[in-house]
Amino acid sequence: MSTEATEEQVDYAYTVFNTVKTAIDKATVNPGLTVGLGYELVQKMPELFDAMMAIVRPEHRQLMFELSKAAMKLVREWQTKKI
Amino acid sequence: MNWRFWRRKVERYVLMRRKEDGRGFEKVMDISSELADFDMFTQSEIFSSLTKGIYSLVSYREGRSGFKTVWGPAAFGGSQEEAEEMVRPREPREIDVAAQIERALAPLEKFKKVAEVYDKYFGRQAMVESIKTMRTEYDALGNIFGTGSKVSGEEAVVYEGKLPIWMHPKAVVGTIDQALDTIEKRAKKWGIIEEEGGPPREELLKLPPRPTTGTAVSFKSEDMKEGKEDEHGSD
Repeated sequence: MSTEATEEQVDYAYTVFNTVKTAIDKATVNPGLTVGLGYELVQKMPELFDAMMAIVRPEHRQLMFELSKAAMKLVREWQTKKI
Repeated sequence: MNWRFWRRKVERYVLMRRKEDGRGFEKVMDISSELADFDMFTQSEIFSSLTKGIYSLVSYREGRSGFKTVWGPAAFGGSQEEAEEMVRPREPREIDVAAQIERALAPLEKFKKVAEVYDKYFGRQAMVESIKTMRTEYDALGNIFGTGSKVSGEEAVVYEGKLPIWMHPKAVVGTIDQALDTIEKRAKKWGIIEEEGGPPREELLKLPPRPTTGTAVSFKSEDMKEGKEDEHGSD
């Protein structure tokens, strides 16, 4: 059953999101890193998902799960069309 | 931003390379004389592009006086604040990127000494190519920084060059599939999805109340329970 996240999990979530913010800033000033950033985000999606789950209230987690899955499937569709 | 502070730091930049025996650095050139007009951000962009990661900013303690910042063949040794400041997008009024890159590329002779070092690893042609790529990318980014007029912002920015094999679309699809699987596992951990074979929820264990067919039937059944069935049977 869904429970409230512990303080450690929330700390972890903030670390993850701060790292993502720094990475996006880097890609903004270094356009060569944009593709790499996208790949990294896809690769680190499970960690991002965990972070999202930690800071979202338990009753809204289902929605965030569906949203993450839909976004991933959309990216997958785009990539498949590229091939 | 304290502009003078940064300018003072820029004046201390020296291109260093590690000695052959691996002990300490030796001076190659003084960047301050070549690029004194540029701020640290632009210098880092130019040199990180030129040297393909061989050289980077290194801060080390110099005597008792404090720290000295050099371009050296090592990882960035500055503080977290400095690193974040380096990657912070500048306001258009703070830095005119396109114009500064143009100025940097115009006198290519100034990079002759850098090229001497660079040739050992990649060759002169590679350096020129990397400079060209850098300029193209900054031209494309001009609109984002609010300084360029070459990109209207309506068309997508196109980046040229070959992608490494691990960035091939097929590999990306595989990665997405893996990530989706992992997310589903973690969703089970967070209690969003029921685990297969796990203990069922309490709500599912409670059976719903049985439907009743009507009051008359229930009366009849109660009568039967009270023993009136026998009376009927005796009739």
